[in-house]
Amino acid sequence: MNTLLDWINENRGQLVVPVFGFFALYLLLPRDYRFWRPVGIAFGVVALGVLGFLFGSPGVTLNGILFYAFAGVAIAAAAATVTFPNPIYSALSFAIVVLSVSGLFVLRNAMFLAATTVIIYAGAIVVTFLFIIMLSRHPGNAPYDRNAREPFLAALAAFLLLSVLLFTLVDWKQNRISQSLAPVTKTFGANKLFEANPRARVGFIPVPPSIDPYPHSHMLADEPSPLRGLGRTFFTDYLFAVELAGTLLLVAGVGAVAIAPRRVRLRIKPPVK
Amino acid sequence: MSSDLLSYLIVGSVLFSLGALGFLTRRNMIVAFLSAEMMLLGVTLNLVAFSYEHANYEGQAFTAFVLTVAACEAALALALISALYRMRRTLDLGAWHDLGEPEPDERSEPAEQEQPMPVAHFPRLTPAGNVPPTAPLQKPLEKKVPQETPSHV
Amino acid sequence: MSETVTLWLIPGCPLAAAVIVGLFGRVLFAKTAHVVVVAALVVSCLLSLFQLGHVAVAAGHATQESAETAGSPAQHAAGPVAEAKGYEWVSIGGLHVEVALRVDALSAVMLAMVTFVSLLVAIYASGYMHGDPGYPRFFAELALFVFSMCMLVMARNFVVLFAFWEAVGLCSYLLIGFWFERPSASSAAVKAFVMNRIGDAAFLIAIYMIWRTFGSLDFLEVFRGRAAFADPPPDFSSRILTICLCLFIGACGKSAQFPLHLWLPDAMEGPTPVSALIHAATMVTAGVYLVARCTPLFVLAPEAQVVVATIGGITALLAALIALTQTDLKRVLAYSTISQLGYMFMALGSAAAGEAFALAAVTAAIFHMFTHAFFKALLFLSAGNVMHAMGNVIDMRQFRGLRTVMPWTHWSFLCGGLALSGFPLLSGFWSKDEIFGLLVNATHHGAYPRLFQILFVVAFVTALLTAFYTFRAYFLTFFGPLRIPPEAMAHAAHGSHGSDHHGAVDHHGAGDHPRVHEGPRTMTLPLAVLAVFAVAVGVIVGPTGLFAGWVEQMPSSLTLKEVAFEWGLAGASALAAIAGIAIAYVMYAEPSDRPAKVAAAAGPFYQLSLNKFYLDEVATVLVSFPVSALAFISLLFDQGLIDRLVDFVGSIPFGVGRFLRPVQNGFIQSYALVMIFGLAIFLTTVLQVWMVRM
Repeated sequence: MNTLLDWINENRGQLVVPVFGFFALYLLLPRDYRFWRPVGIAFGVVALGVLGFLFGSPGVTLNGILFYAFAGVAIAAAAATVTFPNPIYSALSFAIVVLSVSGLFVLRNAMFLAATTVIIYAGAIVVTFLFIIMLSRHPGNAPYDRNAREPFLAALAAFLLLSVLLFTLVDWKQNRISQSLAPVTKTFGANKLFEANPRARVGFIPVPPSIDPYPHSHMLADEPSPLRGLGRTFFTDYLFAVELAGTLLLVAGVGAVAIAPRRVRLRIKPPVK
Repeated sequence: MSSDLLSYLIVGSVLFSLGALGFLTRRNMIVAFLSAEMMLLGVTLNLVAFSYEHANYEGQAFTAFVLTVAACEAALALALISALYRMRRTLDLGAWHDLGEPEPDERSEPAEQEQPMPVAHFPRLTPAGNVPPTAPLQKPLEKKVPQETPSHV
Repeated sequence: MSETVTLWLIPGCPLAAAVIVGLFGRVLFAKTAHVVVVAALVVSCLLSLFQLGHVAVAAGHATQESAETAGSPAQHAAGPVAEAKGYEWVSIGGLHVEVALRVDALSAVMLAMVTFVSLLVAIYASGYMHGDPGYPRFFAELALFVFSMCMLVMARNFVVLFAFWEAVGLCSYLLIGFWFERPSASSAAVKAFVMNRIGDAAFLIAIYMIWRTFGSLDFLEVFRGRAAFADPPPDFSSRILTICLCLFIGACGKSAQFPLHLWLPDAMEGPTPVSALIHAATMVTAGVYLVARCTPLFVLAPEAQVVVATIGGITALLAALIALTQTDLKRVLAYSTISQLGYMFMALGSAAAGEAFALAAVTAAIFHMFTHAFFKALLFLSAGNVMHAMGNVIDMRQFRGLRTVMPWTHWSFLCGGLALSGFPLLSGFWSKDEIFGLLVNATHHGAYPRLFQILFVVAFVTALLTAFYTFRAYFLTFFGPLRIPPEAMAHAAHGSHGSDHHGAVDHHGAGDHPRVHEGPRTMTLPLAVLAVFAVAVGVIVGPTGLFAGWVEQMPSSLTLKEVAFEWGLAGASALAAIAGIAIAYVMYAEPSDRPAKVAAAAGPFYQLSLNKFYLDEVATVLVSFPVSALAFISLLFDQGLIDRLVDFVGSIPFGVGRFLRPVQNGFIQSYALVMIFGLAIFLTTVLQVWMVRM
């Protein structure tokens, strides 16, 4: 018991996030009593604040501010997607999530991906979803939208997952994870990223010391334009995969047409003379 | 590992968890699917963060493929949802639980306990040679022989 | 033929007949089952008579001469004994039980009586049970009974005797409940069997104690008594007393002595041949046989003999008092049987006068049993004739004056009744007189003179009552104006007998008024034979000492001391018999109101007698109610506790299922929830516990 209390004390910062987040989402999930929503929002704000404080980028740089902005909006909008009873609001919040994540992509030097994400997700997928939603509108909200399923157990599961990931990442950062699991160092030319670890394991399988990354992997530094570098990677390293992806898209399109219900053909009756 | 990476990974984890929560919780098919897409979004954020960390394009390439697959999946999912909507006229996932375990039929009641025959229905042997009635045992016997002094003995 | 074969044929033939008729009766012998059984019984009877001659009669002459010269008191010159080898049944440790036969004089006498009476009853039954749907079953059971009785009498040790003791009880159950669809019959059968079982429990205790005391169960070894031990155990006397008392209780159960007599009157539910054979002549005498056989043990425990005599006396008087008022002819005869069995036990018990008189007591008891068999069977078969002619009515209030229409039956009944009453010079007179002589003797010798004086008075009064009630029944049935119950008319009009059975009796012509008639010859001839025996056998066998000579051959260490024949006693008993007959004549020969006035004057005593002294009700309260209560408690326990426990165990899978079923509810989100939980726990274990701690 004492060790448990000690442990809680030790990790209280990290524990606040999942616990408060759990309460926030649990209270925010659609339910009949709407007055819990402000309480949930309060919890959520606290959780988000602690999260940002603990794990945000230090220093007041443009990078940092933009990161905080995009990340905060993404998480808030994600919470909104999950908790709005109205499905249209839900879809629109999802669009905001996508936009924020694209912003984060831009910060990580993945311009093409940012654009692609916006086009595909926010442009195609969300719009299509909105069409379907509008086909089945209920006055007010549908009963199946007004109440969530198993809010407690689901929130518990999700935040258990989140806390595991959180703790693992922190342990990883603080090098508390067993050294045999530390990643293998690679030195590619002038980019020395990690130290070599002769005791590296993947699980219990030892990593062969002569492992190399993909030999033709293009480095970010080599290409000034991220788009050009990505294109080069696509059509040299991953050509086969790209072609397959195209085929997959074709198949999916054909499949969607096959599955989707036929439109009812109108019979035009000939005029009776 | 840099704290930058950690931040992005954490955001990715949060998105993933929230997506999982939404998928488990919402009864609207569309919103559930949207939450699943959000899980994918969290994963792509992870990939991009690692790509930046390792300073190569592998993560971004993989992300492109994830996007492709997500698009196919969305197309097919929407087709399926339309078909399902046509069938039941509702977007409720709760309408589709045909594969659940049905409740079993009520167990049959235990067999009727046999009641022992009440003692009164067993015939008392008459003192004189009258033939007792051979009716079934449910009928009580009439006492045929009077115990008082017979007419002539 | 060798002795083994002849001895084994005596029970073997009825057994074979029983098996054949039992297995193939319905198919092959539906109308002719009696042929097989009668044939088997003829063989048995002839062989038994041969044995009687071989063992008892011929040897009787020989030892009478050698008895004077032998003179050794320790071991009486035992007569010849026929033995037949059998097989070893049980041989475990100290227990050796052999199924083999031994016929000495006592067994031979009983065998002869049993097989002869059985033969006559079987012939009678072929007429009486004619047309009954269970005809072959009856004869199979009858043959089975004769087999069991013969084996019982010829047994060599207690266990075999007990086994066939039970077997005759079983046959009695089967035959009393022959018409098992009648609830009264099946209840009577169960009652008989259960009351027998009470006695059997005591018998088993006795057998166990005999084995523990003597180490063996063979008769010869046990009956050496104290001589069997070099060093008898210190509590030998009390052991023997207990053994004898338990044996007697067993005999009470089988021979219907107070208080285990309640089953015999109800056993009249069975067919009349059954009553005649089993409940008059043979099965009920098995108890007497047992006590007689164990006389060498009883002489070692005079207290037990006193108990035997006392119970016998109580029973005799009680049964006679009840028989005074019964209106059912068969019931009268049943109580009469109980009463006469009491006489036999009184005789056996009067050996308490001294060891010297034991053999005389046995002689008297067996002699009375012998004569009783004949005249009681005769009386029952006559009653059967009456019942048959009266359309199964046996209530004496329904018919009168039958001597004009049933002459054979009338004369048979008269012979039997006179014999039963102890009319001078008939068989009953001689046998009863011997018993009186023994009782008087016991007042002069032995340690209990006062008791035996009382018992003598009881016996004398009972003799008077016996004569009275027997002739009450006789006059009520056969004297007075002719009155036929309506059932008899129906029976006569149907003419259920085939024309071949009618002797010289009126035929029913068209337009004739239907007349009640005698039964067929198969029903009247056995009566005639039995009547002859009832009249004559006493005279032939008794005073001539033939019987005593036969019984004397019973191997034992006892010497026979004759009990002198006193003329005064004989005259007194004759007077008692005639007085009883006369009183009955005065009251019942013509219809009058004298019986009613006497009954009214007797008041409560009349009610007491009519209701059998309420003993049935007492038994119900003392035995049935507690057992029913116990059964009810057991039922509650079984249903309330055990069934509930079993149901609970049975409901566990349902409970588990009900608990687990919601997991499979068809909602994909539930499955996803469980998967994510599993994933979270798995990741916790791997990432946090394993990887961090490693």
